[in-house]
Formats: sequence, structure tokens, C-alpha cells
Amino acid sequence: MPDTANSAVTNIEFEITKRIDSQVETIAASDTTTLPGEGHPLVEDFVRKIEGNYNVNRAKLDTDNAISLLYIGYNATPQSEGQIRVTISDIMGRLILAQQESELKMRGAVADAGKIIKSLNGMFGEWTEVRSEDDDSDLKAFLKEDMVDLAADIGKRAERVSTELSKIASDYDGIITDTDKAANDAQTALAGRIKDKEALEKEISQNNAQAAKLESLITDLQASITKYQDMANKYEKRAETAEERAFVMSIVRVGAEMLTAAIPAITAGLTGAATGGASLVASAAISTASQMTTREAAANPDDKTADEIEKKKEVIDAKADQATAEQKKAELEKNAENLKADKADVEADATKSEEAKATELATIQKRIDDNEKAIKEQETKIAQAKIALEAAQGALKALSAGMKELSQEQKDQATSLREMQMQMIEKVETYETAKREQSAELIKINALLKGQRTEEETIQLAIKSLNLSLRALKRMREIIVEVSFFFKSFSAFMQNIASNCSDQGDAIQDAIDRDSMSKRFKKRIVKANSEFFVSQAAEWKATEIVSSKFVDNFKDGWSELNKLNGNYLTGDALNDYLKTASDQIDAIAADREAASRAKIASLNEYRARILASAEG
Amino acid sequence: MIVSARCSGPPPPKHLLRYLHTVVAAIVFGVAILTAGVGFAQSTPLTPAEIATIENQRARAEVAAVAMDKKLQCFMDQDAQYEARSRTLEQQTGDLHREEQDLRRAMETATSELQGLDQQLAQSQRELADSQRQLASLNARLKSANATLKKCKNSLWILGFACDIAGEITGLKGDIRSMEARQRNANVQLVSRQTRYLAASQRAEASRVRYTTTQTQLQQSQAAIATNEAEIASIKSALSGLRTTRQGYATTQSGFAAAYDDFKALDPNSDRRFVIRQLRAASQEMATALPVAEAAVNDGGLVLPSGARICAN
Repeated sequence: MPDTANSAVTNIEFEITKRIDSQVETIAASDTTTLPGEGHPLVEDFVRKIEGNYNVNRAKLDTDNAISLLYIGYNATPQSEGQIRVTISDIMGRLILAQQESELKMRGAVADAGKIIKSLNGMFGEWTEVRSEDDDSDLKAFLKEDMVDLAADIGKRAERVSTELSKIASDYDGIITDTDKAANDAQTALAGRIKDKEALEKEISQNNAQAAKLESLITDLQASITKYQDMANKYEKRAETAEERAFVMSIVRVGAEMLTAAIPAITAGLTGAATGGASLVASAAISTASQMTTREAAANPDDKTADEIEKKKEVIDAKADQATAEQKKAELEKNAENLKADKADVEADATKSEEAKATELATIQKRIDDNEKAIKEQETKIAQAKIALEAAQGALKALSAGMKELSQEQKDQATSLREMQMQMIEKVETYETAKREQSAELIKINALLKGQRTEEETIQLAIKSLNLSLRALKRMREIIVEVSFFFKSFSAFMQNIASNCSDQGDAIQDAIDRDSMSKRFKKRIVKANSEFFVSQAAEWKATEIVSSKFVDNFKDGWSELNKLNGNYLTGDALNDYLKTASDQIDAIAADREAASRAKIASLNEYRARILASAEG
Repeated sequence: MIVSARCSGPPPPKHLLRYLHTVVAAIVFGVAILTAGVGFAQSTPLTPAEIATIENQRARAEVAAVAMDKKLQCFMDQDAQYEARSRTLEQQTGDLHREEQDLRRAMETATSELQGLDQQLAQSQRELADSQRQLASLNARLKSANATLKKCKNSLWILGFACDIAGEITGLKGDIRSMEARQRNANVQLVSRQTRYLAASQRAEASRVRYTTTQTQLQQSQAAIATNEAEIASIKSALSGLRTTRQGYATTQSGFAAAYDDFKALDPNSDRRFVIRQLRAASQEMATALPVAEAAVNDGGLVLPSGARICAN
């Protein structure tokens, strides 16, 4: 409660107490034979005094609100939070019981108040007679026979009501403690869910990264294909003749076929729209060899062009073989001449014996023979190479049918495209390997992500619900704290009555014990007793009025909560209810705020009225 | 004028009082009403008949009070039992809901995974079929080309090489080489696709088992939740009825208990005016409250929605 409100309450209490004292004194001193009843200003003041800063007229609404909030709190708590639901369900059970007992206690207070008021009214007429008599014996007899028992009875009942009110307050304190526990549990659960959400988000992020890694492999490959295609297109445009275009296409088609087999989805995506023009690779990929032959170079089939290239390689190889063999033959022939010269030198040497000459000549002759053999072998190789060369040249001549020698530019293009093909094969292999290993993993990751998103939604819903539950429980607690505080002050009020009765009993006993009473003492005892009748009658009437209101409040309260508690919501009914719950909390909060402001205004207005009547 | 209130003599023996109960009860009741309406100045001492009535009322009230306490306790015990059962069920249901959430998530995952793997399996199946078709077609074409070449060589016998030259010139040999190369590729591809198809089948089958298991668990969990929730709803409904009945009963009981407490605290033999007046008022109150209390004790208890009757006595 704001300070201004507290200060307003303090001021008003002071004003009320002053006015009560004044009124009691005035009524007690008057000749009236009736005690203040319902509607009397003194009774009204006592009602105000019991109320304090609590608005009894709003008690029913507050009780209803507390019940609604508790029910919202219960239903808003996710069904998976079984323990918190059990705690709130226990609070509901406890609140029903507390309100039922409160109703019974308030009924008891009303009954006690009724009995006391009846006694007071019954005895007040007699008292008005006795107090006016000159004879002290009747006064003493009344005090001894009636007043002392009346004061004791009122005191006893006031003690009992006070104790019962304390129990009510204590019950609500217990409910506050339980509510705090439920709110704390909800808070903890909320924190747990938020933590779960963070952990889940991390997992989702990791899985997304893993999925992105796999996706990047595909993107990388797509980029390579696009690059390859651009280059192929460029070369095709540069090719001036159908023959040159056929040459480019023969190389492109190999790559395209490979891509089609490996990654149909990717090549299918390489449409004209995707690449900004006609896609050579895509076209090659989706065409069969014969279709391409027909479309691109009917007169010069692609395979033929490829074979021509192969034959040219064979010609080069055969020429190289022939040249090597001829070079070796020339070396061997030179060696043969040297050996012949060596042989002649030995034969002409007169210094050597015949035997030595014969041995040396035999060795030289063997080397000459071996050399001749090697020359013949090379001659055979040369003859074979010549045949191969002639055959290759013949075939090439027939196949090429006037085809020109490959230009250097075409050779460079072929090299570039082949290098790119090799790179792509490597990439495709990498992709295929990764794909084989991870495509199933990717499906699992995506499936997991789907499940995780469902869980994320569940957690988000749980967080929202728990927040709602928490808000409801906190608002409900505020109301119960006020109710508890009210009953504590009500109990104190009744305790004060009991204390007054005890004081009155002592004063009466003092009067009874005296042998004789002085006039002054008699006047004082008569005044005190009269004031006791007036104040007790007004106080108990006020108690009866306030308690009666609470009998109805509590009865309606537990009936409503009991009805709600008996209606266990599940499924769609629960979801429909929760849709309205948040607005309900806001409406209750706004209403209580407005009521709090109205109460301050009312207190100030009441205070102004009191001051005005005092001045008048 | 204040009249001193004192008893005129000692109280009659209790067995005589009991004997007289039935005879004087009606008279006493009338007397009690009459005296209750009399003013404070006329607080005459209690008559023996009044005292007898009070004693009789006390005896009956004590029996009724004990029975009411017992019955109220029965309602409280029943409440506690139902509450405890509800508490256990709600706790269990909470755990089941948590499990169900996990299973629903697992089900989402299993469904998505199975769909993905089934698609992968279907794709593998298509690829495999394509490979098989492609290979069959290549084999047929290759066979035809080779047959043509062979036929040419057979017809020229020693000049068979001329067929090769002619084959080169017409492109037939090139086609054969190209087809042979493709055949090799297709074979490799076929083997690879067969392997992939097998792996995809195994993955899909494992996924299908997970899906079916999860689905069964989820259905079991949902059925358990439905059973629990139905029982909780039934218990809460029963509790609601029980608490309403109990409060009606408790209202009667507490009013009666308070009146009885006041009543028994007053001494019928007291000669104090205040006490005598209170006793007469209390006796009058008892005359009304006792039949109500006794009727409440014997009201047959409560029939719950399940048909069970509780706290009959």
C-alpha cells in the first residue's frame, strides 16, 4: 500500500477513535433506554475501525478474484509439471477448507454477537433503572448478580472469537506459505525451461551448422559446374566451324555424363534461367550421345572426332618409336665399324703369338656378331614402327578426311577442359563419399531439427503458461495477505473487547467488595458501566455486521472454488480456458488498482465528513 | 426490583428424572418457551421439570454431538483419501505428460526420418532400375554392333582386317569403343547403386522399427493419460460434491456444538440469575437444534457419482 494511503488510514483511525469515545460518553450519559443498533453512527464507526484499511465491501470481489487467479494458476501450469499442479491443487483444497471453516467461525461470531447483543439489550433496561436508584443495594446486587457474569461471558466469547479469527489468519498465512512455495516451484520450473530452451537452441544451431556444411558441399560443386559450363560455352562460341564445336562438345559431354550419373539433382537445376543463358552442360547432361550427334554435327560424329584425336596420338607415338629405333641402329652400325677396325689391328700385329692372336680375334668376332644381331633387332623395330606409322597415318588419313591439324588454341582449350574435368571428378568423388556417409545423417539431422522445433514450441508454451501461473499466484497471494492481515486486526479488536471486559470485571468486583460507596465512586462506576453497555452493544453489532458479510463471502467463495475445482479441464477445454486467462489477470489487476485508489479517496472523504461534523 | 434466584431444594435422583422424561417433556417444553419470553426481573429459579428437561437434552445432545463429530470426521477422512488419490494421479499424469511430450517429439523425428529415408530408398530404387535398363540397352547395342563386325569378317575371311578399316571409316568401331566404355561405367554404377539401395533399405527398415515402437509407446502413454485424467476428473467431481455436503453438515454440527458447549458449561443447579437466564435460553435453543442434529446424523450419508454411499452413519 502506498505511504499516502497508510498515512490516510492512520489519520482516519485517530479521528474515528476520538469520535467513538465522544459518542460513547454522550450516549452513556443520556437517558436513552435503547442501545445503538444497526445504522447507528457509533456502530458505523466501529465497523470502520474493524475494517481499517481493508475494504470489507470488496471482500467478496477480492475473494472471487483470488479464486479465479488460483484456478488460472492451476490450469496455466503445464500438465507436465505434475508436482507444481499438485501443490496448487493442495492450495485449492486448503483454501476451500479454510473458507469453509472461516464461514463456520464467522457464523459462530455472528451467533456469539447475537447472544451478547440480546443479553446487553435485555439487561440494559434494568440497568437504566438501577443506576437511577438512590439505594446502593440494588446497584450492588445488579453488579454482583448480573454484570460480573455478563462481563465474564462477553470476555469469554470475545476471547473465543479472537482465537478463531487468529486461526483464520493463521490458515491464510499457511496458504500464503504454500502459495510462495508453488510460486517458487513455478519460478524454478520456468528457469529450468528457459535453460532447456537455451540448450535446445544450441543443439539446433549445431545441427543447422552440420546441415549447412553438407549443403555447402553441394553449393561448391554447383559453383564448379557453373564455372565449367561458362568455360565450355565460351569455347563453343569461339569455335567457328561445326568441326570445332563438335570437338568442344565431345569433351563437355564426358563431363556432363559423369555429372548426370553422380548428381542428377544438381545438373537438373542448371537450367538456362539459373545460368543466364542456354546451358551447355545441362543440355549435354540430358541428351543421349546419338541425340547430340544428330543435333550438333551430323556430318562429323563426336566419337569420330575423339578417335581422330586418338589416332593422331598413335601417329606421334609410332613416329617416336621409329626414330628411337633408327637412332639405336645408327649407334650399333658405328660400333660394328669400330669392331672391324679392331679385328684388322690384331691380325696385323706381329708381336703377338699365334695362340694369343687367335684368342683375341675370337672375342672380337663374338662382339661383332652380337652387334650385328642388335642391328637386326633394331631394323625389325624400325620396320614394325614404320608399319604402325603407316597404318596409323592411313587410318588417320581416312578418319580425318581432310580435317585440319589441331590448332594450338584448341590444344589449350582441351587441356583446360580436361584439367577441369579432373578437378570435377575429384569434387564429385568427395561429394559422393560425403553424400553416401552423410545423406542419411542429414535426414536424421533434419528430422531431429523438426522434433526439436516441436520441443521448442512446447517449451515456449510452457514458459508462457508458467509465467501466467506465476502472475496469477502472485496476485492471489496479495489478496490473501490482505485477508490474513484483516483477520489479525479483527482478532486484535476482539482481544481488546476481552481486555475491556476483564478491566470492567475488576472494577465491578472492586465495587462489590466495598462496604459502602461514595457518591463520587458510585458516579464513576455508573458511568463506566453505562459506557460498557453502549460500547459493547455497538462493538458487537459492528462485529455481527462485519462477520455476517464474511459468512456470505466465504460461503460464496468456497462454493465457487469447489465448483471450479470439481471441473478438471483437459484438452481443448483447457486450451480454450487459457486463451482468456491472461486477459482475466489483467482485468483483475486493473480492477484492484482502481479499487485501491477509490479506497484512499473514500477514506479521505470520510475523514472530511468527520471533521466537518466535529466542527459543526 | 431484582429477585434473587436460588434453587429451592436439592435436585431429584437421576433415575426418577429419566422415568419422568417422557411424561413431562411436552409440559417442560411449553414452560421453557414461556419462561424464555419473560423479562430479566422475573428470573425465577429452575423448576425440577426444567432441570429434568435440561438433563434429558444434555444426554441426547452428547450422543448427537459424538455422532456428529464421528460423521464429520468420516467426511474429512473421505476427503483426505480422495485428495491423496488425486494427488498421486496428478503427479503420475504430470510424469506421463512429460513422457508424452518426449515421445511426441521422438515421433515427429521418427516420422520425418522415415519419410526422408523412404524417399532416399525410392530414389535409390529408381537409380538402380535406370542403371539396369541402361546396361541392358548398352549390352544389346554392343552385341548388335559386334555381330555386324563379326559378320563382315566372316564373309571376307583372310581380308577381315578390311572390316576393321571399314568399321573405323563408318564410325562403327568408334561406337563400339564408346559403348564398351559406357558399359564399364554402367557396371560400376550398377554395383554402386545396388550397394546404396541395400544400405538405404536397411536404414529405412531400422527407421520403420523406431517409428512403430515410438508410435506404440506414444499410444500407450496417451491412453494412460486419458485413463488418469478421467479418474482425476471423477475424483475431483466427487470431492466437490463431498465438500458441499460436508459443509452443510459441518454448519449444523458447529452450530450445534457451540450451543451444546454453552449449554453444558452452565450449571443447572446454579442459583445465579445470569446463569439461569442463559440456561433457559440455551434449553430453548437445544429444543430446536437437537432434532435437526439427530436428523443430520441419520441422513444416510452421501451417494457419490460412482454410486458408492459414504458416511451413512
